[in-house]
Amino acid sequence: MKKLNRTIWIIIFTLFSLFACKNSPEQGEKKLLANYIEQMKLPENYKWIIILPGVGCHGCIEDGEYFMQQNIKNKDILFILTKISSLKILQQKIGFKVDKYTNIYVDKKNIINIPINNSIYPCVIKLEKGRLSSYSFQNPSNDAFRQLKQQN
Amino acid sequence: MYKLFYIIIIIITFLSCSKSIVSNENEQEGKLKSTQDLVLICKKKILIDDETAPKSPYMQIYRDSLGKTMLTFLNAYNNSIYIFDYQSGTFIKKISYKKEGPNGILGMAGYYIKNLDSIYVYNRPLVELDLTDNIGYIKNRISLRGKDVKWALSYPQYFFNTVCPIFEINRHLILTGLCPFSIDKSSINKFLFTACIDIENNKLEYHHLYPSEIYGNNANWEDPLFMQVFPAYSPSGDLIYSFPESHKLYISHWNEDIYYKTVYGGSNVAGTIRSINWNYHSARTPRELIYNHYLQQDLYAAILYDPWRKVYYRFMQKGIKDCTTHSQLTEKSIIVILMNEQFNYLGETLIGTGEKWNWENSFVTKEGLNIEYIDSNDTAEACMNFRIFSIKKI
Repeated sequence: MKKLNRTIWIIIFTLFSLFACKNSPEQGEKKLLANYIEQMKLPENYKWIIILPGVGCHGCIEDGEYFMQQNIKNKDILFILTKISSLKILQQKIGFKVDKYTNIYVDKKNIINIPINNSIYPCVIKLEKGRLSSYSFQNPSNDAFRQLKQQN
Repeated sequence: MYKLFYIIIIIITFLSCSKSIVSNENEQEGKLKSTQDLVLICKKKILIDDETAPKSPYMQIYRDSLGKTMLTFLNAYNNSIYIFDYQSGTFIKKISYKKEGPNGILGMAGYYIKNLDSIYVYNRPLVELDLTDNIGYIKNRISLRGKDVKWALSYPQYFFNTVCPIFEINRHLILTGLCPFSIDKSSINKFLFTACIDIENNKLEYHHLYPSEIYGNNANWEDPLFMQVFPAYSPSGDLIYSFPESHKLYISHWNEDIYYKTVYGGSNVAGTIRSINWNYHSARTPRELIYNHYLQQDLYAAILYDPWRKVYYRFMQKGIKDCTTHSQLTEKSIIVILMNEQFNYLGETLIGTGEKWNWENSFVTKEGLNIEYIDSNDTAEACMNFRIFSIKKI
């Protein structure tokens, strides 16, 4: 019995050693995004939010700019432009003035500042009653814009 | 027997979580006396076209064959270099490059104008330096990629900007790169961050190690923001390196790997700078932790030499002690430290925060230290604005 107790203690210690340093860097990503959306108090008519950063993965951001250009008249989608290095150049690229559209929010003060590893990619958020339902990032291994088109 | 097991397991428990935190104390904090100050002497405004925005990613001051000072900058949007007369602010020339084809430069991310017939352009996607002329013709391409598949682990990456430019010493181009993440203990005496290219024969060699007392021992500096190296060229021909986490400056010959001297080059208000409290070998460092750490720490930045006033300017970004997840990098206060040619402290000046000052676009002219100013009233982004500072005895 005494030997069995000792063995159990050794197993507990070993498990403790193994799991003591386990951390998930992406932990809280969903919570951060959900908090930001909740703070924004969006009207319930939006079904999607696209957060388009101005700096980060160059090709992914270009995909986002192209998607915005093609879908700007879709009133189900709110486009949030953040970390913009130049609104002047962005407008040159997309070919229209952003203040002409009510479904574009320009985050000039970079309030939507989400310190996560994926913040360099455009983020596609699905909403249900103004709250985050699911989300994905447009990155080299995931075509989030295509998924949005298929679901919309 | 069981006692031995317990001891081994307890040791494993501690070792499995072990991380080395580097702590750089500022021995001169609060002890330095200012005798000189930086003062604003004038403003400069450059009118830009519809395809150009302020906060250019790269600028170079270049003297033409008649000795005129030219302000040049990179426009990444239209793959061009713009040249303006610095004194009058008059537009002189635009050098455009194709993105594809035999004369294509896929992505411009820095350049060095030796003269208008020899312009070296850094082509970031291909990691090469392209020798071009002023009509967009590519004369030569110099690859900076290693032959090994895993070359990126052993060779530097380049994030050039106005205060970390490509420059020339003794007929060699000096390209200051960086290791984008923390350096393993095993690589600290191997990873060389400066590429030197012999202009005569394009021979490439690498020099300069990261100082082991800051970056060694598996210290966590897990972001290019921490690993950026800022070079300056001294009048005696030495390279002066400003590492963000060190109160010291490291001095080396351009073609050697180690530093023959270190000197104090810190701020009176900079505190102890610590590495991130996270074992990056056990798990990826969370972005939130990296971001908050960068905000909280006092970190040094660019160093510029002013040959007219014979002083060095070293930038420091003051940490925000009570930062939150909503805090911005631009909220950090920017301090400019003044040193004479012997690196003796002359003083320091707080110029404001990054919301108003784009310190990465700073350069020296005979008028003084130019720093790009962000004019929030210029919503049309019609101008590039600079503020020019000189030094004054207190």
